[in-house]
Amino acid sequence: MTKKDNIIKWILTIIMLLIGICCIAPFIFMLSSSFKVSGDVMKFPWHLIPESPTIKNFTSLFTNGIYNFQKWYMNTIVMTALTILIKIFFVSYTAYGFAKINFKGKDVIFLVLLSAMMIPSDIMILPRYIIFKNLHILDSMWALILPSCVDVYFVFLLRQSFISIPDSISEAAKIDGCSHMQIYQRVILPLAKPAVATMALFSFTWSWNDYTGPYLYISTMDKQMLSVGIKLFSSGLTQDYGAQMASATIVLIPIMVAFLFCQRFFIEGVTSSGVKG
Amino acid sequence: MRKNHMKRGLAVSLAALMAFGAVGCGSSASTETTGSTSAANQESGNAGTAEGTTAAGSENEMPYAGVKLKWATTDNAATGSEHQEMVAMIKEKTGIEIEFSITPTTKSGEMDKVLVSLMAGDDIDIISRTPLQLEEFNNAGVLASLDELAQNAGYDMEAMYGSNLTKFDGQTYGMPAYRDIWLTYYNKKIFDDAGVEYPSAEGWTWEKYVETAQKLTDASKNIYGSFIGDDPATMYVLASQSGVSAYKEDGTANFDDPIFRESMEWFGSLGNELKIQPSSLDQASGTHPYNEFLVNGNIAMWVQGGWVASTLADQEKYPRDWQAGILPMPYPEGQEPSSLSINSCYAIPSTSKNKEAAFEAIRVLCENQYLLGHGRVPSKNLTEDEAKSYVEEQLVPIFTHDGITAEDLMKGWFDADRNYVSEKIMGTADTVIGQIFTEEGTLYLQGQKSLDDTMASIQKRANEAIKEASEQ
Amino acid sequence: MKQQNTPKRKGKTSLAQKKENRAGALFIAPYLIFFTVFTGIPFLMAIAMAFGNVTYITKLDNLKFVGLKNFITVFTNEEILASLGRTFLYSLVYVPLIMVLGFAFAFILNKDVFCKNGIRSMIFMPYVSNMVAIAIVFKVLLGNGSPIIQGLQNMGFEPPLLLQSLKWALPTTAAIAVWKSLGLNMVVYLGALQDVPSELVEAAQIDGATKWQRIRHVIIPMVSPTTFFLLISSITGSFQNFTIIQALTEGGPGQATTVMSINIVRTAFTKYQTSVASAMALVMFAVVMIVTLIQWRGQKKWVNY
Repeated sequence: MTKKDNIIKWILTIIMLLIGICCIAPFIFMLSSSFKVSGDVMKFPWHLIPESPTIKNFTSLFTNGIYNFQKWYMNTIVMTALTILIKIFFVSYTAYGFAKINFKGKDVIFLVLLSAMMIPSDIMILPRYIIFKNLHILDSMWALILPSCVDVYFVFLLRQSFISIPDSISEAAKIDGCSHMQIYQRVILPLAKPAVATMALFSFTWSWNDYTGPYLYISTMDKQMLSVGIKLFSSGLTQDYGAQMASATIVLIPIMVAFLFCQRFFIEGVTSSGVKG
Repeated sequence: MRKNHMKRGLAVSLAALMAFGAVGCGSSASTETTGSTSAANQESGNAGTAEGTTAAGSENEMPYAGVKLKWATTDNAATGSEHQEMVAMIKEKTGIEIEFSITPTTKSGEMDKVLVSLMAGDDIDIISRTPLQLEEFNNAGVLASLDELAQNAGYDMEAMYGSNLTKFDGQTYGMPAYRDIWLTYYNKKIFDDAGVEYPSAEGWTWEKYVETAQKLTDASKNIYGSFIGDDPATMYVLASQSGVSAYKEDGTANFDDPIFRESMEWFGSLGNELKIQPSSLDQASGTHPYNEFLVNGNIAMWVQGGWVASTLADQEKYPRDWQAGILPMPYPEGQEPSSLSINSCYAIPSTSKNKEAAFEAIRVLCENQYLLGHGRVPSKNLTEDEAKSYVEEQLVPIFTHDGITAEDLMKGWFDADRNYVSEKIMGTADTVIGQIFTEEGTLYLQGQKSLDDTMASIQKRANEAIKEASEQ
Repeated sequence: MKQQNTPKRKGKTSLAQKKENRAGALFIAPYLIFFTVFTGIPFLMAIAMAFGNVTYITKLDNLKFVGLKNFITVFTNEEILASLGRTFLYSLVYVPLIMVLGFAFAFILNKDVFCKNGIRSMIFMPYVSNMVAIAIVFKVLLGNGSPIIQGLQNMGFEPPLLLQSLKWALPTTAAIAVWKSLGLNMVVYLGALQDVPSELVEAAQIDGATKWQRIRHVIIPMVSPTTFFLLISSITGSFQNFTIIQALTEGGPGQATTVMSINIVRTAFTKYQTSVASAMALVMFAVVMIVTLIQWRGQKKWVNY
């Protein structure tokens, strides 16, 4: 590496670091506010370090007599984990069909599916409610998991990723006598790890943060999800900013962990796909 | 009609198909049962004593003992013990067990989950809403009329609640429990520092209010004399308090009446010309939060709903080193004294399978909820003496820190010579009109549209909305 | 079930093709069934509603087929048309910004900086965040009396209050949306960039290609399937912006940020004109569909499979 390259690298690092700081500024606000009493959150001038720091916002989440915060946390973890698990197999299986099998009508069907991505979802709220009711999955986490598993976005994402894996690899396997099922399991899926990790991370974020779904389709308190749960802490009139920020912080932690975990896959992706070339 | 039935039929048959087809998901889904813990059970202490009374009472006195009711409530339950106490009270007085279904408060522009689930046929027994919201529920046809239920129970709602009942087309749909009556809250320290005397409730008009606020405002110290939040209710406050209706006799909009223009202009002048309160621009940016009075201690007077009173008592969340005082809401000079108010009502959905029991439960709530000690103003008609003893025994102790007297509270909340007028416009397309006021009014208040254009636009859009709504 | 979803075959089809068709059906049939139940049928119901006079679904007694009346309403109502126009403007800001920045950031953060992972995580943070918390911060930062505004005023500028100005509110919400979603595009691009065989880039380097030429002729074509995916999903995403606008401006000031998505929800759940809302949604759907079809047709020219 030349000296000039190194200087450019430093400049870029500093620019990107500044952009990065802009990106996390709200989190600093959030974190700082979560340790303040409600009256201090919007107080001016603003203080980074709370004047009278408190952890009551956090403890009150867990010691609240009316709500079972831990239960919501567990529900959300189970729901999200199931969603991701089902998705990884179900969606990649379908995406393989669209990417690597040349059946008739493929493009038309895929285009129809793609168009579903563009349906404004609010318009399907009432029809979906009625269907869930008829399927008897209303007020259970399946009302959140199943629709999420047919999300076209991820079929699209994985299809694009499978397509970019050279056909020569799968053709070679075919000549060796492998069926599509075997090619999917042994060749494509392992090669597409980065894309699958991306999907897992995004679908984690979506399911974890989804508000409208649980709000509409879950009624029983003990089956409720975190996103709705934390909203219950802030009543319409007397907004409790401190508690809101504390709950937002608590909700964020698992996603951060998931990101750091998945990020390893993105990097591994480079080395694992050694078959290339 | 037919079309929709076909679709539903299709959905059902697909459900059946799925049950056979998708083994994994289908079977797991069906094992999910609906079992929720009763809120009453969690409140073990109170429920325990209540049960004792239940056992003592005879069958006749509690015909609905043991009935379980589902009450869809908003997250108010989270903020206090009031809901738990209500459940215990219902259990004690009727033997009915209440189970909550709690949803977050619906903001304007968002869908109301309870309404959605009622429309889809879910059975809920009790809901609590404002009259404006109940109107929406009634339009959707999901409310049960209370008149027949009252008759069967031999209960005279008219005598008890009079004009506070919520009626649509001559039928009663909402029984009121408490009302929120606006007040003027003031910061005694700012008055002391400025050497201004505390105002008195007599003749507390908007003119006096503005005059006092001007004396207290001190830009150099960032002290504002007044804070009145941007809201449709405050934009047409002078019209409401002068008794001018939002609708003409033929049902069209009445916003071309000069009083609406005057009200909007007057309200705008407080922040923009007189600068006695944070301007609309400042309020919108959040640098002056709606509750700045409580938070920053730099607001001398705050005109806001009565619910603030209970926040005054919450020193833990809103610590402050000064005392607050209260006055009635100011009124326009030359008019009779009046305050904005809004009722909180209970209603029974038409899908309820236990309407009689639900009626019994909401009757108990409406008569007694205010006695639980949460600073509520009952909607039921009280005699002067009843009101006085309620204020002295229940309300005054809440406000000892601020030294608020029984007389202060009587003047604000129980004044027989004062008109309590509805905070919200009620009538055709009222929700949409509220939205129009927010959109157009804010433009004027923030200096992006002239007053004439704003008022003309409000009138025009309101008429369109009324026309659209009547065509449905 | 298999048979149902197998596309109809014409006369002569080779044995191999038949086998492919069967395999294809096997792979996509399960998905199609679930898709039909959870998206297909609800959508068909919504379409049916668009041609009726549904208000509250509990009040279907005098349900009528009204033909194109609701669509005529959509195309003649000034407020609805204006909100459709705002949606386009929003997309015009959002899509180019997020595409260019997403690629640029991914490219830079793929190789050329120190502390890659840390910075990547920082830029990804807004994507996973809670909109309520973010909205509060942005309102304060861009509002009257904020440190930024005051600083600019002290320097003699007259900065506009971005979220409260009729002119600036819409592009500002779009820019904030870009800020929030950028992490997604960046991460997807990162994945794609890491799939670009380094041999290819090195070969180009040996051939004497400049850095810019390498990006232009090797890397951009190699990631074009990803670009295609992100372009379509960004366009779609730019039309479904209810949450972010509701949290930031609630459609204001005036109606400056009342885009189609906000208007549809208002029409459906404030005015309870369910049928009109369905018609509005269908119109919006048709618009995105046309844009996508054009992209789909055009992809052969620039997407490199």
